Amino acid sequence: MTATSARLTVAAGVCALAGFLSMQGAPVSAQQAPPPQFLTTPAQLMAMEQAASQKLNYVPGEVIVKFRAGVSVGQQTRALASLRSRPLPDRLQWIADRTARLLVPEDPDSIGVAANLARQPEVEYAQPNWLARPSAVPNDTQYAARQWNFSLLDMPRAWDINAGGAGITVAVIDTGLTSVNATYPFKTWNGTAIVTAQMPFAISPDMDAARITGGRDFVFWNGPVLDNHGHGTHVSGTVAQTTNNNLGYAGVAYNAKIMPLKVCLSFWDIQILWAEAGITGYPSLQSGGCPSSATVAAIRYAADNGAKVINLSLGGTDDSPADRDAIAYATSRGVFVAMSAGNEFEDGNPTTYPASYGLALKGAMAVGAVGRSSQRAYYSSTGNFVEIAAPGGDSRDGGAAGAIYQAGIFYADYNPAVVILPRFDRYGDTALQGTSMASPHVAGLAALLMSQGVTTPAAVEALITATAKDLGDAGRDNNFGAGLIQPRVALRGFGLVR
Amino acid sequence: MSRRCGALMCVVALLWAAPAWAQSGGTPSTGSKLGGRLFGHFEWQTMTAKESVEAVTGKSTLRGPGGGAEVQRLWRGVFARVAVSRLPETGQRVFVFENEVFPLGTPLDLTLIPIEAAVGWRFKPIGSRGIVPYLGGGALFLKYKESSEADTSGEDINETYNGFVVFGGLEVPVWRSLSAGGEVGWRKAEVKSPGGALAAFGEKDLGGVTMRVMLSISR
Repeated sequence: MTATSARLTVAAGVCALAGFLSMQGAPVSAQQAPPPQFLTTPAQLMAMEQAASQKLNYVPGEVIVKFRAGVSVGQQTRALASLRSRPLPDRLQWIADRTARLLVPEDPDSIGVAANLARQPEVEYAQPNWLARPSAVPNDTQYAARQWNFSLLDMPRAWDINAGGAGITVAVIDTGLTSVNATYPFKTWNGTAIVTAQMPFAISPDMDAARITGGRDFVFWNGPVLDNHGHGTHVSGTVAQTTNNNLGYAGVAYNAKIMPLKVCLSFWDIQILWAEAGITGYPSLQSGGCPSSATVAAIRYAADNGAKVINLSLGGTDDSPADRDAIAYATSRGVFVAMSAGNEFEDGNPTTYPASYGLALKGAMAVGAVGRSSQRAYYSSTGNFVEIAAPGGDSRDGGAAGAIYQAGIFYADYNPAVVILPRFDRYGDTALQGTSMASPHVAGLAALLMSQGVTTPAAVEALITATAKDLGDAGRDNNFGAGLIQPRVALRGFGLVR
Repeated sequence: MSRRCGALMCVVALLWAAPAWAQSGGTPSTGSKLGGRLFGHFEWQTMTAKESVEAVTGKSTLRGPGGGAEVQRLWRGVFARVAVSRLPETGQRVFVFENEVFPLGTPLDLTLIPIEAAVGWRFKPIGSRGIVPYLGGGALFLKYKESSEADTSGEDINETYNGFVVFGGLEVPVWRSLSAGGEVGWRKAEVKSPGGALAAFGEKDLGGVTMRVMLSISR
């Protein structure tokens, strides 16, 4: 996935909104939070801006390195001394067992640095700190039909068997899901000066706050998780939007808990961090991304803190052993991982990561997207790594009605192309399409199955695969994998003879 | 099936229309005239598809009542029999992966109804009590019914699998025409193209070893 493709951009019209009045956010409180402590230094901010301006798919001056077992600090020092800048081990920020993020801002060529380190005998592998992107393509058509996706999947009859996945926590590793009603005095650039703006945030009125649990921000600050992009909110909605509340939309596992883990920096994250660091001007609209270092840490955090399902609606075209190791760790800890397969079919259809790691890992699945007619969505990547398919939306199959709708932050309140002082506390109808939208259907189904009694991720994968509706060529194929998920059939399981 | 019903009706008609024959103090099998027996029983069947049945029901032995009718002395010790049993059980729907069973909690009701049409041989009574041993075998028509909560029409199962049965038993006179007895047998009835738990465990035979206790009235 290139930096310019398959990305949830902030272009005008990304959300189709008919009116948000029925979806007002919770009343904005005037409370002031304690001063924030931001997680990204000015140097790192500039590196991300460099990545955006040069269209790099990695963070310049950052690599991820995994040392071999038994390597001492002295040996780490020797390995690091092979680099031109000869950094000391205090530059290592540990994110997993024997795995660290190394900061070498003196040498922005992360590819070269990683290659040099990888040659050292003390090093198991080294990679640039890749920048993944959320896997959604903006849909800017007008508001139309609603959740055809749940009808296609026969969800109402599935819910007759399992009412929403109670007792299961799903970690959504993404741009975040706002977990507080609060206003923060963030600095920002108003075109002429850095000013302090009171930016209100609110929990979605269509998401039960009691089911948002254990969230953590790995990239912006150490305060509550805030979504100032919208992608994470939409994905979380498909997984677990509150249902049967006479409001808005439904979610697959509407009684599951959501653990929002923010690993992606959006335009507004970067803008705020710039202004807080005293950097004037606007960052580019393409600023941001999801560093591998953050994704790795979030995956491990989810596995170690009670999540039974992880959704990764993000990806890139660069092999990331660190991500692969983290996903393997998660499945070994009993966590099912759903991953978007990628939206690059019309951009060369490259193999995407981390989706392609699912093929070798039982309990991790790469999800392709279909439209309303159960045809492959025009953007959905194909390949032997595509294992299953779910609704992702397809504007070429039904126009505006072909998107995936959920409740989302009112886009006109924060569109960076036109808004100077944003707000993030009002909600409306949001239409998106992408394998980002397909993956959370599978994550939600996994939550239902785990709640129903299928307690291992490998068994969840086997059941989803065994009960899928075959699409396309008979048997498994590169477009749909095993086929379209069938939640009711999966939840119904086996009798004695059938 | 209509021919079998007709045959059964003929057997019953012969049994009850035949004149009572003189009993010389021995059991009906020693007499030379056509005889008959009606019996009721309670049986246990230990399933051949042990893993599959245990996965779904938690048990590998089903049990239930039944009954039947015999026409005896068709020619010397030859008899013909029709018998039916009903073996109901409850359980739940499951998923089986790498031989591990994941119970899904959705209640399931299943019933086996074995229908036997068999012939056999009754031997001469043994000992002072006149215990009669017998052996037999024949066709088995195994009806299988299964239903689950939240099933819609077409999802319930009501199928019949054909096979065979062999059995042997002892009949002990108790009082006048009343006898008691026990029987062991073996049934085989395979499901063509099984799915579900049967397929997961590589099993397909819904037969098994049976044991019956019986009470009968003879003429």
